Amino acid sequence: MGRDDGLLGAFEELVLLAVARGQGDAYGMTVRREIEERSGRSVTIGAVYATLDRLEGKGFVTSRIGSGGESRRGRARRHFRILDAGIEALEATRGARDGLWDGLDLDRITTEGGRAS
Amino acid sequence: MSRPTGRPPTLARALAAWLDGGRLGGSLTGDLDEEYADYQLPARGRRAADAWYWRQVLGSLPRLLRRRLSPSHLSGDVRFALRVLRRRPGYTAATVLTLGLGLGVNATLFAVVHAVLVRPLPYAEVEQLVRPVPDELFFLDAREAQDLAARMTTFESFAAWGRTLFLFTNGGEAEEVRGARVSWNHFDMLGVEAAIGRTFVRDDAEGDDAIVLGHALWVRRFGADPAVVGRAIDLSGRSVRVVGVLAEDHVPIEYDWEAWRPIPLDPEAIAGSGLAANARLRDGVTLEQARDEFRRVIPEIWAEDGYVASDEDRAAIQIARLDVWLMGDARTPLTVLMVAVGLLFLLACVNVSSLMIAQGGRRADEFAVRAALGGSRGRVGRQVLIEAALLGGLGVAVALGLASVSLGTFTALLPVDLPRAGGIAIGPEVVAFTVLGALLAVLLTGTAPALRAAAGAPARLVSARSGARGRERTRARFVLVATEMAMAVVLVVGASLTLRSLAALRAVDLGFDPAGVVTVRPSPPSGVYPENEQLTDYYARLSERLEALPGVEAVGGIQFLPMTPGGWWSRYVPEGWSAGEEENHPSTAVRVVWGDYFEAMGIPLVAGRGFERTDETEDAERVVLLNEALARDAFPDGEAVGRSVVLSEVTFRVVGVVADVRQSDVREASHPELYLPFSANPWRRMHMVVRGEGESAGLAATVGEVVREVDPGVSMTEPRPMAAIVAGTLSDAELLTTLLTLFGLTALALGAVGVHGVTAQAVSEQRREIGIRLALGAAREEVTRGTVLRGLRPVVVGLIIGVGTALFAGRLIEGVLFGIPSSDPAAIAGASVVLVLVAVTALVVPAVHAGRTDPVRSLREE
Repeated sequence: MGRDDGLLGAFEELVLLAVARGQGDAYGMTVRREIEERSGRSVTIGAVYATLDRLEGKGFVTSRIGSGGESRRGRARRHFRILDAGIEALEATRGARDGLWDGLDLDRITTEGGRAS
Repeated sequence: MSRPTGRPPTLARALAAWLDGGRLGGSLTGDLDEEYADYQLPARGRRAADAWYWRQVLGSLPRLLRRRLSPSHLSGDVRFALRVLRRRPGYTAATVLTLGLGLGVNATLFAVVHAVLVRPLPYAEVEQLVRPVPDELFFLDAREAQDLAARMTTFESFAAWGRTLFLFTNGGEAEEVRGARVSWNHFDMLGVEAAIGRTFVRDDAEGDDAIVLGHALWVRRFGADPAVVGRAIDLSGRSVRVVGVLAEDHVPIEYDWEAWRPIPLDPEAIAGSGLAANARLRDGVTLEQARDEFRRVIPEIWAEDGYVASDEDRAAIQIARLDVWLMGDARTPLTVLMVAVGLLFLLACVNVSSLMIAQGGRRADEFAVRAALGGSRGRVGRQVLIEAALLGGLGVAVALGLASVSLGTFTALLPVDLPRAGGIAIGPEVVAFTVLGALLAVLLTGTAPALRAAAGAPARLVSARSGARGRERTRARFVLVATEMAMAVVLVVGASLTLRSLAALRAVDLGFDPAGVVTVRPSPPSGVYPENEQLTDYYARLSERLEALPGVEAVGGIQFLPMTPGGWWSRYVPEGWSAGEEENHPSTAVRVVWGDYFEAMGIPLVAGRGFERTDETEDAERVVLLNEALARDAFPDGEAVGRSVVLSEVTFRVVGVVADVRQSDVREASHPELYLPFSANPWRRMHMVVRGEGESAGLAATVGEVVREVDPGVSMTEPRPMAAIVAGTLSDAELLTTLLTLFGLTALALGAVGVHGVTAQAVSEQRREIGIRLALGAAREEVTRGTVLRGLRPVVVGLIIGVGTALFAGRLIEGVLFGIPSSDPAAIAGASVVLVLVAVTALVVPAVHAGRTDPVRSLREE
């Protein structure tokens, strides 16, 4: 998607973090639930998969097909594992963000007609 | 509702599974299902969980749809093919629309043919069910039917039936319902069971008070009340018991039957004859065995009545399969139409093929480069086939869309008596047929270009403009245009034949003048008008009122109206025949007429006089009128007026001869007819015929009012202009003509597009050659003329082949033609002229274009 700087988009970051938290056992449902629970954002499974596919395309994650539980009625689980490149991307993204946050106090920012204290 | 617990909403899940595309083990759907069952359902309950599932699926829709259709999920060749097609929108649209049109027309017609002809009748072991034909030969009476049932050893069962009308009087408005008297085993023999209650049992035929209702009648008159079964209802003033209601999908022996009553076992209990019959063959008995036995047994029964069967009678006896017989009238036109749309489909395929070849010509360089870069021949060929398959798939989509739209219009046009028209729909068979057609189209259209593309050697790149290839392509184009034209000719000839046949039908002299005539048939109930005296009185009162209407010129009546079903035949003895020969005496149709029937219908008197009021008095001499055909038959030596004929042992004097009329159908020649005055044989339901001046629609309404005023308790058929009744008998011929004309026009359009495209392509390829010729001093008109003439060569070849095919295949359409042979020169010549004109028109534009070639530019382009 034209993002060649190795940095992650906001949603990509959330998804990749959820995969990393899964310790190699993450799959579509757990990733979706993890994001929803931890970020409070409502997320559709389609968005999760679209992002996972993109991350896999970039070489940040890899997936394998495993067998599913009873309530899946024969449908496989696609397990995702974060790759080294993915970890690097998370770190780079975090580093870039931290650099920007450094020394920034939101409460001190004055915007036009905005809050001031 | 019936969904097991723990299962997500069915529709949403199906959608998810489709979007998932079964990829990677369907993991996405699995995720949704797992979360639904393990988390959402237990935590939030059914409704919230279902809503969640739906939100997930619908919310994922845009992303998943893109993923599903994204190139990275398709194979490389498909991706490439999609790109190729997208880059050539004109070519893609032309191909898809041509295919869609060809396939769509086929799908529509196949839906009809499948519903009417192919779908088996809903009877048990249909192949064993037979029908002795023709009916007229052995209009049985109840006793003969019982005799036959007992004597025929090849029949497992035998059930007679006779058409009848039932007058339903429950709940106010009286309604006439068409139905039949049937042997009590009729339904058992067919293997038909009632939806509610039962069909007939033997006991029902012991008495005479049972009735079985058709589904539509039950809904219409009884509000679909199941409690009506077992109840007594009022039928023509007498009480009968409803024993059962048939299923909605029951197919009656005749399309408009809605009620059935049993034929009483006691032959004396039911008067008259005119029964037809169906039978079920014993296991292992062939049609021929049954026919041979039937040809032996029927004359035995006739002989007991004193009638000696002639060899002709015997030879006419046939046993037909019931299903074949039921579809008999519809079979030929539907077959003709199916062949026509098949041709149209092939025509579309040829067009697509030539589009593809032209496209292949344009892409020759691309293929040559690919081959030079190491692309194998198979790979390039496969590429072209995949493109064709994609186009085919799109064509199917267009076709099914088109078919679902056109089917509604089409079924509305169908004649009402087309058997089983109710089941016409786009079912799985129609979809399968269309997909199969598309597959065929892909193979037909894609193979040649694929082979050509695959044959492209790297050397082509160098010698791309060599003459050999040009010649080869010219030959291919010649064959394509000739083929297209041949098929178009066949279709256009078919269309012009039916047009000429319809014109011939319309030009038939009916023998009467329907313009300005309105007819209505009242049904005076036997409860109120039990005897002849009351009936005569009723019709006298009605006639008087009708005659008094302003503008009415004549009022009469007849028991069987021309152009409507029904008939009564009788043997007669003309004066001068000896009584000894009586058993082989000729027969005639007998018509009972009322009042000034001949004046009202516009039937001219040829000799003698017509009926007069005095003929109706009790002590008057018994008189009859003959039509010309009967006068010729009965008195071949000359004058009929003043002679006598004996009918049912009563002697009548012939007082006049009237002109022949087409009695049963426009297509059927007039047969002998004998007219009796009403008093000689009063008839309960007379078709009243009213001739007025001016417009018949207004008169029809007035006539209806008069019938109601004379006695509101008398039900009647809808008053109709006679012209509409005549037109109705031509509606099937009109439909066939309309459709074939439509197909012919489509074929012409497809052919024109093909000829134009191919010639335009040739002209653009020969620009250099044309440029040189112009530079060397050739006249522009000469170039134009030369292009048209060259373009016409394959057209003429196609025309010759097409006309030959049309002549050869003429037998197929013969059965639906009237008054002209299938080799009708006018139709064939007309079609040929139209075709050549269209072809010339299609050629003119590229030819003029060729003539305008700028020699300098065309030479510099190289």
